[in-house]
Amino acid sequence: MADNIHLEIVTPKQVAYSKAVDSVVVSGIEGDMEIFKDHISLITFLKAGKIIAKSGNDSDTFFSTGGTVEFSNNKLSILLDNFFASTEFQSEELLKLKKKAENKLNNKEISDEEIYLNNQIIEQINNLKS
Amino acid sequence: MASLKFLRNRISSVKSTQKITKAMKMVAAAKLRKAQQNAENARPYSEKLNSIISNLKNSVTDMDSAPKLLVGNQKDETHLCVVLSSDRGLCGGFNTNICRKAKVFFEKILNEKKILKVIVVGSKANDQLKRKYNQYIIDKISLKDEKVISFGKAQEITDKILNLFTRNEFDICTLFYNEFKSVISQIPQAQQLIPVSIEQKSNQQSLVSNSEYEYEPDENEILENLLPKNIATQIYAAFLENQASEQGSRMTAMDNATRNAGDLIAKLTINYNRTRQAVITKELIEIISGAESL
Repeated sequence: MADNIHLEIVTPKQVAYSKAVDSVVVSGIEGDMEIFKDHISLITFLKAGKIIAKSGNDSDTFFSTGGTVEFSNNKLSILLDNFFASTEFQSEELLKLKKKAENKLNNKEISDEEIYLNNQIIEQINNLKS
Repeated sequence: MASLKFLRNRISSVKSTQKITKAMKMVAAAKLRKAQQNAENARPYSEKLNSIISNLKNSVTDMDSAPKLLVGNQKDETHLCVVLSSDRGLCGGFNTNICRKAKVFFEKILNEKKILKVIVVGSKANDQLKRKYNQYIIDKISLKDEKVISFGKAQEITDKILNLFTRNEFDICTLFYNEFKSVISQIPQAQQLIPVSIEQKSNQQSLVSNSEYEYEPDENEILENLLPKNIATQIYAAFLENQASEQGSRMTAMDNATRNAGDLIAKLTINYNRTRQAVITKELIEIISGAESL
């Protein structure tokens, strides 16, 4: 279809998702946003949160603790540090990531930004559980 | 002429060696497929990251305020070399090739009277380099407990490198690894990590559109976050290439060894049969001449 964008989710391990979708909701570092066709070219970071790819009435939901988004010419590339499909929301890996974030918070020398980001990771993972 | 018993033992020992090399070849072939897959899967990520950074690099106009990782210290006094090797041997010229490449580079730096610092990853590089360059080796990283190289390990090495960089311990960082071309050809590579060298061949198209980008937060902040990630990704990609190369190299080496063992067995068997025949003939002669003398 001409009226959609091409979403590609890439992790260091693989190309996790590659599909044409109508819009994508991401949790950017300065707030959640939904990207539609003909959005201005954009580069931003993601904080921990869900990524929702919508096409028609369907939607695919993923989770990641952070990454980078690049949008240009109706191509959306999301580079993720880690990637969880909706079936993996209860996986052990997520618990490990949560532990890691908690450990980082215990470290006294981290910056406010990192405190915020790690808190986000914990909060978002907790949200997934419920 | 060697005794029959000696030859028999020799043949059986070569046969068992051949069995081992054959098995190693099979294992390497299986691992190679996986390693190659991993390396190929990782490629899109590093390519994307590279293109984003080259876009950003073009939009940075003020070189003074740009992140140090991008533009460097404007000096090239101290060189840090990271040499990636394997932890296991029996893989042909794999480790030797990297070390040879690294040594040439080391000599060049030392001849120019610059300061050299070396981090060796994997015990084989350490074994080969420590004799001559021991005083330059500042860190050794072992891969012994890593079955599959994880992104975490690459991150760990990156953190070490960045730590040194922020303390101004070096100006230029170069990474040595083997690039996987095919099963029979692996090319040792020297890649500059800091300051970032981005191949300018990346498509012209991105250059055109770069002024229209919206950055959130601003360019420099994005760069500051992305550059360390880029280094980690490059190291990770190098690891994967290295792993595929190692298995490819081992497969070829073991294939050769198996073939050589086959040749050796054939030669030894002919020798063995000849000797056996000679012994029989000798015995016959003895019996006949004994009978004649009666």
